[in-house]
Amino acid sequence: MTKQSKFSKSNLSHLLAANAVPIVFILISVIGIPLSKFSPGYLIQEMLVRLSRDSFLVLSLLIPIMAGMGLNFGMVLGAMAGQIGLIFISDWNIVGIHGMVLAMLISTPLAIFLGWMCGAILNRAKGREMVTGFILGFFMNGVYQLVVLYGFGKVIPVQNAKLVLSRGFGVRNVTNLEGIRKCLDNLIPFEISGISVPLATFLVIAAFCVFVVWFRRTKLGQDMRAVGQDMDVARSAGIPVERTRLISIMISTVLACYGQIIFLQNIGTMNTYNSHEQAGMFAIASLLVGGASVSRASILNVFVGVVLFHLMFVVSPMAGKHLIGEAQLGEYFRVFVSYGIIAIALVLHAWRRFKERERSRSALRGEAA
Amino acid sequence: MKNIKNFLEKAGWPRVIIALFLLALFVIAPFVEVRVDASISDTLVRFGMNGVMVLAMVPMIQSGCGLNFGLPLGIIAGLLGAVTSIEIGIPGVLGILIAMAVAVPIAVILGWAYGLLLNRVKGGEMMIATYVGFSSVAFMCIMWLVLPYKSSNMVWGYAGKGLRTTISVEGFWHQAISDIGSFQIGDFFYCPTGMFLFFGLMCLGMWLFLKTKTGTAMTTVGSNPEYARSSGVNIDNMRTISVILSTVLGAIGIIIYEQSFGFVQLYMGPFYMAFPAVSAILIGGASVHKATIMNVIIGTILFQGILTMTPSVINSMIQTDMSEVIRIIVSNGMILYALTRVMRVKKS
Amino acid sequence: MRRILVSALLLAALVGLGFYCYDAGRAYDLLVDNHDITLGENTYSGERDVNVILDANEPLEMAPQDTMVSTVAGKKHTITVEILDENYEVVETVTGKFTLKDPEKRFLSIPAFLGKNTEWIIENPQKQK
Repeated sequence: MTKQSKFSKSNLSHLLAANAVPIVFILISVIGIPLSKFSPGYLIQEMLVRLSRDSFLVLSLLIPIMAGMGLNFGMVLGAMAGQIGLIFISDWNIVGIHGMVLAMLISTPLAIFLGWMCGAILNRAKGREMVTGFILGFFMNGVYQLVVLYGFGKVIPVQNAKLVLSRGFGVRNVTNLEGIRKCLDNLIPFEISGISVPLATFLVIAAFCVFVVWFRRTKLGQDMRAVGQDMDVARSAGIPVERTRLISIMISTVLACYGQIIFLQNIGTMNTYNSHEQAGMFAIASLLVGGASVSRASILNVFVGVVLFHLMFVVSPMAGKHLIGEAQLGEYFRVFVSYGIIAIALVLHAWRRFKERERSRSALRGEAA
Repeated sequence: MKNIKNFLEKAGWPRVIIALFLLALFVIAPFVEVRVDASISDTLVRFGMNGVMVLAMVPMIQSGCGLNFGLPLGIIAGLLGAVTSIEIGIPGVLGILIAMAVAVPIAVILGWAYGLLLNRVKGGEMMIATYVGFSSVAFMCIMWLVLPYKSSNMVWGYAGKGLRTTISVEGFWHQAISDIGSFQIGDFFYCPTGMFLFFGLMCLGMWLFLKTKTGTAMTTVGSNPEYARSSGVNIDNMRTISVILSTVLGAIGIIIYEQSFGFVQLYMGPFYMAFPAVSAILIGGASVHKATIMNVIIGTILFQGILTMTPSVINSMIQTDMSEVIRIIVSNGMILYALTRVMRVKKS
Repeated sequence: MRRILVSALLLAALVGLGFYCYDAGRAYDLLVDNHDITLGENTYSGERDVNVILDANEPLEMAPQDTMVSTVAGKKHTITVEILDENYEVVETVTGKFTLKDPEKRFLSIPAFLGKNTEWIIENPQKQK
């Protein structure tokens, strides 16, 4: 029997199919970058900033995928917890890295609670975790607005009048985070040939990556992977399935909370009522663009995805403008791509799962494959 | 006492709570200077506006495809019909019929493709439906800019091309159907009988369809797929038919909505439009697997009632505008409840 | 038993960290003043151009009888005052450290500081009027 060479046609086509999404995005970027007329230096700086800003949020999605919960649309809850922490430190006028750390400390209990609630609800909706998480995000958005738009100022005391709407209660639409702006990014100043690198943030991200790698090896991590593979098998092996799933969501929510704080400290202002909505969507889209699937995601997917997704994001409006004469077209294009990519990933995942079930069902029936 | 208990169990606590809440709002209304007749009229109008789109949920739930979060697909077909009708420029009921005549074939094609997709992804329909809906709305955003419509009522003034975000149907077919047989009592009470007649017609059609051979086959596919397969029913075909039906109803539904509302909303308008319809049917008692026409009627009245009454009454009461927040919590809470209820049914 | 102890210690440490951050991160607006001032029996004149640098902030360039605002974080600070001559050259540099204790006392009188008065951080004299 002849040995098949590594570069045989089937291997190559399999490689292409498995990584179809990143490849498509690389193509889009290759076409779009020259069209947009951005300079390489500008793009590199932008990508560095966005990597430091968004990676943490995307990394928080890894653990639920590992545990078989799919894409954690409920990460929005963590983002909301982080924002509430930030509202408090803005009110108390705590600045600098202390402000950021305090915000993280305050919002952690809230994030843990929200994560627990989300996990409990998802456990009651086995098989539909993603839709439920998705709707739960909207629902909690309503509760968040209830608290922030009506509670703050009335039930929750606010000292700083600048934060409050003119009617006397409720937080303003835009919360100024000037006090903690870039506090983590600039903690360790670092520059290479005119491009400033937010070293401290990258160190935090690196620490998180190390944590993820270490976590996979712990018993809890192994349990989660077992639950992710097959819940029934894991249950018969004695693993507390519900509790493990719950913990995975709780961890993810807390990490999303920190991720949102890191994200906002880079931007410096917070859209009190909107910032968290985008967080979930962009993070999930970025992860999928990086080649992850609903059932499998790696750290490499995270970084590749953030770069590719944001390249497309930055380049599209200008490319659209120079190509067709309308920047608006480019903007709609990137919205379309963001949603479309999630749709495609979901379709691929569901299709694969469906095919597997069909195969096992026909095996049970004794039909010829 | 036992009868009440049975009724509560069958109706489900959330539904009863919502109904009581709505009743309470109507009772409080006069005391906070909210006109009851205006409120009832508003509720009736909104009931007519949204009814058909809620009805669109029924086929797909019955055939086991879950909640149709991809309703925007049908809505887009309806928008294309409406915009084409305005381009042609014929007013009145004829204009609406033209809109529907254009929208329905488009909806059939879109629904067919959508059905094919859903058949390949059994088990994950709802999430995919959501994002297919989102993607198509985003895609159409590009299209609305580019499509060659020329009517001066619709395009941006200075450029002369590209559709506007909101297009008024005033002068064309505003309230063309609502006005059929409508009557007015005093200054505040307007009853859009035409819309009710139309909705009633649609409901009747759906009810009859569900009693036909195809209709019952579709229901069987949803409730007992194995039995359906062994009876020789082609599951995929039935599901596709249900998707097409749902999409077509969505297209018709948005046209009815627009003729009452007075505006055609393009671009990101249809983005979230599936959610109120989903909530409404769930409030009416449907589950992810089973829906009846009664669910549609009750659900739409309750949902639209809450949407109408809450802003006016609560705003007058506490002097704050909490309507948006309450709407978000109620509608999404209902969907959450339905999604998490599935487990309980399976366990028993 | 040990796990509970460790968790409790960890929790205490985090709460402590929280309080520390609150303390060290709390931002205060300080009034830096170059007016003539009388404290007890001593009168100090604010007749010189000075640069006042609090911690690592931008220098406050102050003319005689001037008042400026500066924001600092935390309670412990260093202050550097550069006294300038007519040509705006630095002739003398005076440094010091201070801790903000009283929440009412946010008024830094530079003349008093230069005059080595220990009570150079006081309440805003305008308020008493």
